[in-house]
Amino acid sequence: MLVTLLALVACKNGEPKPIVCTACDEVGPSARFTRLTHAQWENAVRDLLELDAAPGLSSAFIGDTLSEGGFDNDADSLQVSPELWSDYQRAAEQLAADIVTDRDRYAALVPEDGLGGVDAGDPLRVEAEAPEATPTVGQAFGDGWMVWSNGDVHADFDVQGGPHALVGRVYATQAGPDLAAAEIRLDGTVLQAFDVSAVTEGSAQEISVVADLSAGTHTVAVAFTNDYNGADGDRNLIVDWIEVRPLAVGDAPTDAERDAWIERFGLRAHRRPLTDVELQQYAALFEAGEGLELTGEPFKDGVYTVLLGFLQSPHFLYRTELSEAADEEGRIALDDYELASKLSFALWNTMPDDALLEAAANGEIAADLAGTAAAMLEDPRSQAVVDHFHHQLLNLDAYENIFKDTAVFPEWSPALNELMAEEARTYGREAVLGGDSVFAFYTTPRTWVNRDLAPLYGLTSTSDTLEPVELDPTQRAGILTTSGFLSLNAQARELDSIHRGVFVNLRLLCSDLPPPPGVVPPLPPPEPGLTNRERVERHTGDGTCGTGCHSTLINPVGFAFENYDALGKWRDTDADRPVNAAGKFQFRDGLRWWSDPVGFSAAVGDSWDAHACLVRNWMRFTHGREPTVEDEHLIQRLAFQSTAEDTPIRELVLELVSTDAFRFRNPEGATE
Amino acid sequence: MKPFSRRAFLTGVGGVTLGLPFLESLRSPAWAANDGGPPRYAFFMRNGNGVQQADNGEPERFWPHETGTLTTALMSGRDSDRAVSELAGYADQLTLVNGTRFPFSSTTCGHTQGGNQCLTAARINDETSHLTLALGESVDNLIARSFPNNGGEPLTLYTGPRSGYLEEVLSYRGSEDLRSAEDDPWNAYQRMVGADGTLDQLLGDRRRSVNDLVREQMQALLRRDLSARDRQRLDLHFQAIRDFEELSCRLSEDEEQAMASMLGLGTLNDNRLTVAQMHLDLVALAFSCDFVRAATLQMGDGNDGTEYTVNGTRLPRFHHISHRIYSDGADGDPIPNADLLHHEIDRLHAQTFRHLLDRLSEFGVLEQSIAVWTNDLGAGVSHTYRNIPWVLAGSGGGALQTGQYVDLGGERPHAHLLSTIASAVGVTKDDGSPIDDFGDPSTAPGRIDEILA
Repeated sequence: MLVTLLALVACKNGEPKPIVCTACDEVGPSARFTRLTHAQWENAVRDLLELDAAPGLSSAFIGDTLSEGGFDNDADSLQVSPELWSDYQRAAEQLAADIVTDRDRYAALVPEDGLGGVDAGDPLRVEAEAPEATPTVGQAFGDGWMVWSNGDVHADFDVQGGPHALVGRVYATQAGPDLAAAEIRLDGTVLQAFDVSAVTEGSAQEISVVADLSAGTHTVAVAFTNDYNGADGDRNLIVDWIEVRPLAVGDAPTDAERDAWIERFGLRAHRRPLTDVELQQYAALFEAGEGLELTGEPFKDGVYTVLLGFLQSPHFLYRTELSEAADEEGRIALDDYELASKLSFALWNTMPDDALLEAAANGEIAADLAGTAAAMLEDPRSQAVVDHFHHQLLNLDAYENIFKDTAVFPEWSPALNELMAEEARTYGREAVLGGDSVFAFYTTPRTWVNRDLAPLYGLTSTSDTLEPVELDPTQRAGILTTSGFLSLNAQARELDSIHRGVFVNLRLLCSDLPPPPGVVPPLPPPEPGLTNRERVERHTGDGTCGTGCHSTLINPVGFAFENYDALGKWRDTDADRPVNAAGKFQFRDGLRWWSDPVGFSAAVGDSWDAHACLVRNWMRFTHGREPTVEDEHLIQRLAFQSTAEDTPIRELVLELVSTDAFRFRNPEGATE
Repeated sequence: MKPFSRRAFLTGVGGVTLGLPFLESLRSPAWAANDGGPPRYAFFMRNGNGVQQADNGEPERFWPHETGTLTTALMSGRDSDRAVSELAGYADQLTLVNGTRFPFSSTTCGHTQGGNQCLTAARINDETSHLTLALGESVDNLIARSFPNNGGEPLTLYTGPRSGYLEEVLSYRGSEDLRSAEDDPWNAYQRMVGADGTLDQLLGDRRRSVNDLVREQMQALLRRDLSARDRQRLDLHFQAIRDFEELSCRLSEDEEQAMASMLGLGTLNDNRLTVAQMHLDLVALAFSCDFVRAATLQMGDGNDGTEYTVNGTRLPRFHHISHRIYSDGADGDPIPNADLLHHEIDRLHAQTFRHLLDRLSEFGVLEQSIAVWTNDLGAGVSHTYRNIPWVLAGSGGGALQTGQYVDLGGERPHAHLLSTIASAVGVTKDDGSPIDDFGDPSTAPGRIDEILA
């Protein structure tokens, strides 16, 4: 095997070098502008705006076409079409409005705006069910007052003059098509309307508005304005309390404070320091926004408009590589900020955090790329990324449409589909982060089940959640014997050897399968009493028109799974005869034989094909592009290391994100 | 989770309604300044897997019994055993065109090469699976960009499920430049109607200020030394930036609610026909409001594996039915009466298309439109590129001679039909004459005179 591999990895100068020759790696061409995937956009918005959770708005974004390698982050399949541009615009407007109308979030994000409201003095609170509060309708309910038809709860407050926050703590019983609608009113005048989404006392939300109050007594009301009572229930608003909070009166922010905010926020939005030109652009946009009245507070209006700008800027929407200086070898080294972003999106699927940006500012990323990456993979944020990799590698999206005939499989219900997807994600996550090698990925007799999944493996469980279990090592081995893969590649009643074989070939062995024939030959007569394998072989095996692919590539792999029925359960017989799962396959590093599925998994786990293919897929995923001919040396080198040393997958991933192909840009730019 | 209500949508994630004053839509009827006549529209609905017609020894169950004039009486009587009889109520608006062929024979997968040729009439690259791409723009793109005042973009819709193997095949900006399609009608609708169907002046000013900044930043990037692919990427984004686009008309509140309740569920197998109908509601609305000039709906992926329910029975995967066996390939157990099941599915698709015709009529734009129902293949078992089903409804404002079924004999390239449709809705060549040379340059120019008024 070694001889073959050495021939494969000849260096640029044509001389064979040892396989460990890292200097022989080349840098493949790549895009300079990689648009964030929708998942990355969600995470980056969450982090940039310091939200508790991803906003979820990208579910309304138009999707992307399939990428060449099957992963969603391939720059070539990520475009900003007119539809997506419109989606970005609407999302930015929602997000920015949300920030400037939420006093606490705004204060945290824009501390420069002293007027935005630091509390000064004790708040005045009236419980809605207390005698000091006056309801127009409703009844006491829990710790609050339920307003059961259109009406309000109001109370009088004696205040000193100056700015105050008027706050109501509310939730609602929801019914009908709309969320419950509330208003805050001051002395009978509506100040602002709100949608109330909270539905429990524990998760009640605060609605608030800032008003400049004159000294004296003011009536503050929280009103319910869209009463509904229909077949699906009764919509009511529950008010817990009303509060009036005096706010500090600061000076209006200066231009310097404005610029300081833009600079600080811009560093995180662009994921690098703003240039002077950019700072001026955003300051000009800020001034334009101050003149377009929205909130009644000019500085806040400026912030709102600049947020729109940042959220629609190409420097936010794309991971950009602006460095242009070539080194003595003609390669362009990415700068520390570019590397921080590239690493962060690869390993965390989101923008760099403050620590990474600071490390970039101190020039610490390029100096220790491997160490930085290793620390990032230790961070819990990497888990979702590993899940995302396996979700795509194993086509878990398709699990939602798995369908079985319940006359044959009474244990199947649609709910099982998501459990099988979760099982596969867990298997992958534990394998990578737990330090498994490629061989172990394909051969460990272990999986994760709950009470519904356990019977598929002949086990019982009382657990609601998935728990690790050891499996019968004579029946199960690795990812290929998990329930989801076997069920997806099967019919409602019968297993589907062809598709099991095709999936393993294409996705896990990276085989070069020619396309299926365009014209289907005439149907052969049905012959009862044949096993599944016999039926398939009769029509696609040696001597038939399907000989080319089927008898050497697809069928042997598919037949290895004859012991698993259409729901992935073990079976010993087919058509009243013992199952025959034996076969052979010509891997790139040699012919291997097996007698049962466990033997097949071992053959795959031992094969050059499986190691090189997994490395190739992890490269696609971490580099966000399709590997090119320049990348072949790197892939071969890591595959060699993996087969020879049983290297943990995580070490292969770390090597992929600290190698030259990651840290340099090919000056020739993207593939044409 | 509750359905995403319109109110929730209008008010932002934090649930705060911004108090914006009401102003009339800034959108003006673009067509008046554009081509001087009443606007005309083209829509294409594409199914996969062929139809059940006379092929491979099976009897004819798709086309009418005879060519010539179509009437409601003939279609609902004489032709009641044919799938197109579902459209009998629109007989006088129909043009059924048999006897065309896709010019480029399949070298790999018949489905994907058919789907990619369907609206492009272009050659196909020699890649496999989802990398199989057309080497030219699609006709919906041509029509849309011929009317830049309507945004210059077609409406591009999809109804699932998606397989992750072959997905979009229909709408192309240009060679190998495939356009994403929207699965969720509610998302597409939100894009059409904008924030509230109205555009506040301040919001408009703010958007322009932001757009100006984004344009400046993008121009600075475009001034750099970029590869062609990077430049193309940024150009598309740059061209996408609009200063205003709003639609002044809306669906009813009930329709909006129904659509919103399907958000995120568009790709589920069992929602196929419901979602398709909602997409078609949008197409009718978009045409009636002159929002776009061209639209497409792709029903299912290349090997459409939807499991339909007919008369209460869940059928095997459509792709398997089209092969007549329980398999995506050539081997498998026979599906009993598969040809009849395929015919029933053709009827479901015809009923779906009829829903569009109902809505176009309701909105008063059927006559000035050409709505097309077609397929990747002629028939399922043989995967033939001949006798592709082309069902046209509406005359494009009188350009087509409707109420007839023509058979062109089998050798007419479908590029001629696409040129005919494009010219009927107002697309001209540079010299102002009707377009007749759409598609691959190797196809001789021509239109289908038999169906022109």
